Amino acid sequence: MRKLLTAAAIGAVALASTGGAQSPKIQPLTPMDYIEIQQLAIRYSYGLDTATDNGYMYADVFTPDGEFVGRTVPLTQGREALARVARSVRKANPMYVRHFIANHVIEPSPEGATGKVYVMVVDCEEWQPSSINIGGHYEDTYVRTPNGWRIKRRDARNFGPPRVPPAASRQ
Amino acid sequence: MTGRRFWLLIPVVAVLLAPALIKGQAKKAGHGTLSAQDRIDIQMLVSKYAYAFDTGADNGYMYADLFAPDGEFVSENGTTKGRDALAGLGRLPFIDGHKPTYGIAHFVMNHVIEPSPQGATGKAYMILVRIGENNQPGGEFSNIGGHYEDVYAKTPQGWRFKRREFIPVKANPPQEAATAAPPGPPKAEPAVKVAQLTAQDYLDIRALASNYAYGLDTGADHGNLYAGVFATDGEFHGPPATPDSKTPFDAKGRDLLRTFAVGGRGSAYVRHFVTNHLIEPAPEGAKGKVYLLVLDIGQDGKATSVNMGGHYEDTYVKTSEGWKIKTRHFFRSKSAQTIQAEAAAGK
Repeated sequence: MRKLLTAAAIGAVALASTGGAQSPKIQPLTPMDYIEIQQLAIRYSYGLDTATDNGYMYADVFTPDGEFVGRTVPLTQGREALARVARSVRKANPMYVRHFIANHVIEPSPEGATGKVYVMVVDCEEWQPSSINIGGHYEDTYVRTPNGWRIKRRDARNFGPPRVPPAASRQ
Repeated sequence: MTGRRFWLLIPVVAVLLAPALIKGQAKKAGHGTLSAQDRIDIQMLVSKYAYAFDTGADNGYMYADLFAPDGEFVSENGTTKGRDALAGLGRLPFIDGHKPTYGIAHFVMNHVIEPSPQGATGKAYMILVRIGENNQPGGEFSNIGGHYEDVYAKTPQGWRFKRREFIPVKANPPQEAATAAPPGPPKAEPAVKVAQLTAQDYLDIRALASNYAYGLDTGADHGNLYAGVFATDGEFHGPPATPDSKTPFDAKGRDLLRTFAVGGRGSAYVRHFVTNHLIEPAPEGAKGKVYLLVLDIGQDGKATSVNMGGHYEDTYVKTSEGWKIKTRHFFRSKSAQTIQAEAAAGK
């Protein structure tokens, strides 16, 4: 009887350990993780609105194989393609502001973290009337890399009906 | 009492008094008992509110479950309390008789969190935005805007709203400038050297930018809330208010800075919406940039309009009073084409 109980206990321990391996392990995020991911989403706006570093400030908020999925742009993937997008923003410069974000929700995930954030793209020009060019929200996947947190994938959602012809703007 | 007994008592008294002294210092520093994790959790709660209300997810229960079991939402329309009633509110079709077509409407910014005896309190600006309604591309600002005043409670499920009240924007007549300056914030001691920014540093610096907006819009405490986000010798530099004006907004020192906020329009006035606060360590402490959208929320039949947009560039120092703005420069938004045209015109 004692042997049976011992075997049952060993079996339970073995099951518990293998059971844990089957379900994806989610590491909790520290306050600094949240802060770094928030800063990452903010750098996205600055990178796109200013085209700093020839577009690479924008590209470098993504992983080297990171991707952006937009409403009018099916997929932009990789550092060079992403930098090209930032360089293509005609109005971009260090004085320009356009992508205003709010309501950033971040949650731990098996890959690192996921997030959602509202954005409104406001055409702001000194002494001229401003208007909302577009608005919507991003759905993100973040991963921790040797260089810090990066966007693995950003998916632009719910951006309303497209302009005709499509606005030359990044969503 | 013998000399030996007296010396033995000193460490005992010190041990007994230490917690009270530490508590007192913590209270003085303004952090209370909220950890960085608490503040992050409360930020997440406030961000989720928009998604829950704008989508009506889970038949309104995503919204309801952001509140404590006895939590309540208060507005001009009354008080909603209890999970089922709050879920009903979460299902409320609030744009032209339906939920936002694209599930996006509540833009919440300028979130400030303070510890309180109940847990925490907070404030946040809100502007309701119509995205793609009536199949129109782009979006427009609605006339619904103001601020939330919150009470948060830590429950076994995490931080929840104990109470959230929406206060619509209201502009009181500008305050009259006081003839004599009332006592301002205490003088901050010289900056403390900072090796690396902690999560708490980021949170404290972010709160500065939000309190800046509250101080400027409300004129609270005769402008001292605004002046108090700056270091004693802090300075602000901004361009003239109109294209024809040649007078920039320049001020150095809290007495002068205070005068910028004296014209604040009362506790229900919201105008300076700030977001995208990028913070980086710097030799003097930290530096940062913040986007600004100045919204004149429509009142008395007028439509909401954007007064201006731009960004601040800041330096921050850590003083005996905590983090403060050492310098703030404001730049209006300009496109590359405008800058090129100005350069060509020799401006």
